[in-house]
Amino acid sequence: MQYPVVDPNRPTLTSPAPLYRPLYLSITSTARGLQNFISDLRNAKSKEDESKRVSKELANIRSKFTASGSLSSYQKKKYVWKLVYAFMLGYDVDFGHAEVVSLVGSAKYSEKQVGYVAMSLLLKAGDSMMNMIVNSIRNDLVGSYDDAATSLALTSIANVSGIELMQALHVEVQRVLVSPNATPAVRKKAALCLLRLIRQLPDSIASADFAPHISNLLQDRHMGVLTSTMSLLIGLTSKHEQEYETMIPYAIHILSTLVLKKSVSPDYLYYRTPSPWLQIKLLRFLQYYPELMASGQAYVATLKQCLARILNDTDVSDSINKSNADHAVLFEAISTIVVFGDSGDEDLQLAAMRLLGKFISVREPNIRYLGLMTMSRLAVLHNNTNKEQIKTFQSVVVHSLKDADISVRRRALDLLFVMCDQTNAESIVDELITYLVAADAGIREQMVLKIAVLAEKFATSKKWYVDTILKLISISGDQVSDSIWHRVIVIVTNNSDDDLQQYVATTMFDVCSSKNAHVKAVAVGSYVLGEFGFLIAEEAGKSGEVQFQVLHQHWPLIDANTQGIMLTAFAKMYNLYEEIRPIIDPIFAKLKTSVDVELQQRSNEYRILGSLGPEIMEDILREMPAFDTQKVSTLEIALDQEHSDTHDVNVFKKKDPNSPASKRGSKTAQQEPEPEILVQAEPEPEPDLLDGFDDPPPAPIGGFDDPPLSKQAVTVGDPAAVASSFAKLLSTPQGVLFQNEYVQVGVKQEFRGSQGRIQLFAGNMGAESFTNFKLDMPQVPYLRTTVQDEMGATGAGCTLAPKQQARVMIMAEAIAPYCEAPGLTVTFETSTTTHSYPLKLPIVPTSFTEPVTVDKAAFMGRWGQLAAKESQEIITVSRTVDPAMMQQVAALLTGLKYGRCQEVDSPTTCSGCGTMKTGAKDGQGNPISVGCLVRIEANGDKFRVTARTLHPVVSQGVKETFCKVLKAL
Amino acid sequence: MISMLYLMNTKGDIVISRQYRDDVSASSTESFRQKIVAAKEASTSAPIRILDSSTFIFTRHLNIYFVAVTRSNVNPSLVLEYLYQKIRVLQAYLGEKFTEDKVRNNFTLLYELFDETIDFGYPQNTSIDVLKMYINLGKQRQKIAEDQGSLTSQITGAIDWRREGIRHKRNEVYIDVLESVNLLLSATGSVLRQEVTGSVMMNTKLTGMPECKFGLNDKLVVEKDKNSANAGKSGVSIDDCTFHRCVSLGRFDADRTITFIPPDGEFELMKYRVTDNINLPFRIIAAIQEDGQTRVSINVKCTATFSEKLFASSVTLKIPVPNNTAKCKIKCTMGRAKYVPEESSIVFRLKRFQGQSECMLAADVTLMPLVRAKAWSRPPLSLDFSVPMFTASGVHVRFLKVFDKSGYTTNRWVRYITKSGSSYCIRI
Repeated sequence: MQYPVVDPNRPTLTSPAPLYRPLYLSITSTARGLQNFISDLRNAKSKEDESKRVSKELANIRSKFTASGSLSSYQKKKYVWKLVYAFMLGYDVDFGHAEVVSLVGSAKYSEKQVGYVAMSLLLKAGDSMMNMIVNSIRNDLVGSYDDAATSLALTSIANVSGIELMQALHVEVQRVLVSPNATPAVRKKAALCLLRLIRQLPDSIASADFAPHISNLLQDRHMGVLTSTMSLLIGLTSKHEQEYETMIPYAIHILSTLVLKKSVSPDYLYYRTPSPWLQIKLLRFLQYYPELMASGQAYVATLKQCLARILNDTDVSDSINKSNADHAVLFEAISTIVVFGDSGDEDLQLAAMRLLGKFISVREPNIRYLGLMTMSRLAVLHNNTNKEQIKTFQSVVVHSLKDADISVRRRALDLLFVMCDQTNAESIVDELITYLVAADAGIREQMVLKIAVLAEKFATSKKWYVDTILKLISISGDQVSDSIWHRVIVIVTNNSDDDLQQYVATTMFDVCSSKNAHVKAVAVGSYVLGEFGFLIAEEAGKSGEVQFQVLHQHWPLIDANTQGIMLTAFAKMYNLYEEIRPIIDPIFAKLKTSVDVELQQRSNEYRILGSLGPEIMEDILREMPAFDTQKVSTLEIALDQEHSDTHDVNVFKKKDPNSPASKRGSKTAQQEPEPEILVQAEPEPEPDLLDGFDDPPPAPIGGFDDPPLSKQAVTVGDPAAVASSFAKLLSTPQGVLFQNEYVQVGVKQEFRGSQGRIQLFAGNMGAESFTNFKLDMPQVPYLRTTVQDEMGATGAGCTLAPKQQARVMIMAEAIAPYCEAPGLTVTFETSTTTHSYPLKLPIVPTSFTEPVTVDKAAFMGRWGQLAAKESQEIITVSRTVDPAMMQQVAALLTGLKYGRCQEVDSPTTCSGCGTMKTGAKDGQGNPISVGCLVRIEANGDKFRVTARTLHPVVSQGVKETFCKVLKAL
Repeated sequence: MISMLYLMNTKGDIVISRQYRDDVSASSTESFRQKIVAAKEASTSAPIRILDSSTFIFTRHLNIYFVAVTRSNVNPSLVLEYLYQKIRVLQAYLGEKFTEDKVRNNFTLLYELFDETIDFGYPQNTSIDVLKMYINLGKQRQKIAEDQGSLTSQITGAIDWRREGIRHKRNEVYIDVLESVNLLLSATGSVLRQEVTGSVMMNTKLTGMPECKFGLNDKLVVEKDKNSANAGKSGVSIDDCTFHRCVSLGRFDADRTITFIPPDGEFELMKYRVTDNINLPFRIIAAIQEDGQTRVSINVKCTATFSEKLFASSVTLKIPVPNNTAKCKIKCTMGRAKYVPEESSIVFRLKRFQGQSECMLAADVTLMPLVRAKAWSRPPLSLDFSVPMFTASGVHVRFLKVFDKSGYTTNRWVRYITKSGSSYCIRI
């Protein structure tokens, strides 16, 4: 585990202002009912007793809340507290929200407080109740002069923090933050609330406009406000560095006040250190600007002074708290120096280096941990003298590998890994291997991987590399993943010119001669002896037969995969050495009936191979060709996966070259060039049908072959126009779905029952031909579609000349109820721009509908039955509804293939009935259809659309379709 | 086999414990205490739990857990059956509802019973009558001092359940036929599952070593002797049955006659199961309708189908209501009904329910609107009852013949009771 000395993200505590009242005071001591309830639950003998008590209480509260008379303020509070308590115990509380809303809106503090507590616990961001509560919150935020109410509102916004709530209120929160009247306590809360908000909605703040406000806040004299503002600033800066560059002088000014003048109100002295949290935040903010020192601004000198003071004046003190706080600041300062790197001051760097060297050998494990971590950052970020200096600490770091604390050991391993280069690789790898023997399981896997990578990266000779991996296998074979030994084989196979192959064959022969060789070693041995055994077959005591015996002695103890490899080796030997054929034949014969299908197949094929004639056999069993070396090592991929992290504001994560995200961008920061032997590691014993059990090749890593994004991207133009043409197409059989100066997409559609035929015409309207023209239709589970497409526009893309038209025919069948129209994305490239238009195909539930005519009684009966599955919406149209418009509505209804049911209609209503056909089959094999009823009621300039169908999803879909169509009238 | 047996109260204190083997330590009880009792899991936990590689098999009597600990691969039903028998034995000694205090006051007796009923982890004799013969601490000793010698031969002999020389002034046999009905009806009224499990309990007070012959209206037997007086009557087809070990199975296999030399006192002669042609004692018609989000209207009619000469007692009908019930207005023609929030149901109780009569209940339930509307799961309606002198399966005792050398006459009494089983449910 990590030992943060002082957590910089921790919210600062303020001195107790009279503003805050302890929670328990608001529940009067006479709230017997609540106390009894809680003590009953605590004394409950079993879970059942407890849940019985809770359901009894909830029933009581329900009856109280529904009672006609209004509740007294005391009762309301009491019951809501009970609900909160039951909710905290994990019981489902899904009522009483109306009471919560009324409490939040109350004028009394005690009621408001209960309301806010209950709101932040009981309500979720998406609840419909939220809309009712937003106004009360808004009043508390801006309309109220009561700080307590404003604070409550801010706190609960941050706690609930749903997108909707944030969107509705972020303007108000900003206003509170910058308001000149706000007290420091409110400002602090507003800043933290805003921080929470921008984490969810990063673009809710216009950075350029907001920066002046931040600079105002940074001139505040209140330390608490400063600390909260810095938290906010760090949050903002992590997204938009440039916009906040102007804050640097303010930050340095505050830092100098704290560090050099040490002037701070006594409340903010933490063990005589002036507000360490603020110092850390300031330093962390400065780390976003690594070029700062080189800028030559006046404040650079001040900053240098501050850093120097921090470095020189920090001492180990008696008080552990003071020591922790001071060291936290110190490490942050060192990190800052590390980030500034060569552009920074050399004296500071030397001092930092000296301190780090000291820290990694102190007794205190926390400091040692931080020292090692900072040092590895240093080693990663810079490529010059620092690295040489770090190397002088190698022995200390190696010593830390034996630390009692596993987290320190991990850090030491990381540091060793990054400080390794050609010169010291051999000694470091040797050290690591010695330590591997004693290392515990928690760290072994990581070590093995790192040793393998280092050995490969910095191998002075291939023999040394092979020896190292073999040592790994013998010490800790279980942790050696397949990709590691696959690499060995790739390298051995690809180096045919020197005597490496012979050397490896000899070594593997020796290793496999031992009865207790590890199964992975046997696997490597089998492959190597099968391929290169002939190179040593002439030597005394290593003839083909002996080689065979050496391998075969392991047969009963190895797993099926390795047996498969060994079998291939046997086949190769079979080919080479005539004398052992009689021994191998029975093995193949026996395995003909093996339980393992793979072994069965191999043995059968190898056996028949012998009978096909010597030429064919020799041809097939020839040595493997060299492997393709253009792919990325799987080891590197595995290593990358270990560095996944989710922290958002740490500057090092952004720059850590080991993290996959920044792999490409940070190449300059990494000293070593990419190792030359970064190759893919998949030994494939046979390139033909015999290859059956090796891992599939890894997918190429993204990012390496993306085309440069030089073209400007254009997406859909006018959403209103798109929506209206979509709506028109819902009730007409053909029309234009989308049109602009480049492209026109037309649709012609025909539906019968559950099936439909849709023709798409996409025409090039411009003067330039389109390349990569694509019509992308994501598969949806509710439609079964078949596409006829001559030009390949729905597949890999095609080229469309000016005035040319691409035609696509889609046969669609509804196989499940649904509401969402399927998507269609039109993408193409012109010479200058990339276009992408996300559209919707007009295939909606009503498309598959057939009209049904029913009489009044039947309609009303069905209408009543389906009440529970209703979907309703009220929409406003541009003008007042008149009889002529009702005529249009009625026409629409028939246009959307609903049978009108005029008997139930008044002049202002319009009802219809239809049945949606689907291709899905029920238990008896009959197609399922969903009966749909629709009613449109007009009132003034509003329409109320109600859809009731057998399936709630369809109800929604039908309703939406009608709303869209009516809006377009 | 059982390595250790102990009684634990609901606080987790051990009331009494006995170790039979040393492969578990006394401290192993701690993990049971912490993980099951203290975690308030005992009521929801499975009856067999493996903690720290020891298996704990337990059951509960009032506030006492009976826990058997083992490390070997035992037959769990054997252990559970032993625990049930143990509770029965303790009930015979300490009273039906013995408590922790009762146990603490009778430590010596308890230890004797622990020792006598298990040897080295293997269950032994748990017959109350036999145990009472020689474990009778705190009670006046019966005058059986002279029997002491014959005791060993009796419990190890061929008829270990009955000793010789029993004398009764009046020779009497009481037969109780107890049936419990399990039923599951679908919402449309079709039967999904129905079953009657019955047991024949006997209390014999007979002199000497009598041989008894017992007959039910078993279909196979009834149809076999067509010629006799029973011709024309149809019997009940019994699906399967098990007998007390005093019944000679050889005879039963040969001609389906149940012959036995009964133990003295109370015992369960046989258990049986019937699934066909069941006379359901009650017919229930329930109409439960949800009107929108906030109302449910309930109408239930319950008719007793058995003869009007009989009556059912303690009939309890549980009608489920949604969890968010705020108010219930209930009207019923007889009995009492109220809303019980702990069970989210309306509980309707009738002390006495005459055969062929019917009762109605109408309830108007107001619901609290929910923030996130959830459909009600509509759990089934359940019924609890007991009907004396009625058998749902139609089983009745045809005869009980007692043959003894002395040829005394015997008074025989028969009683029938049908109860609801563990589930008598109707889906709604």
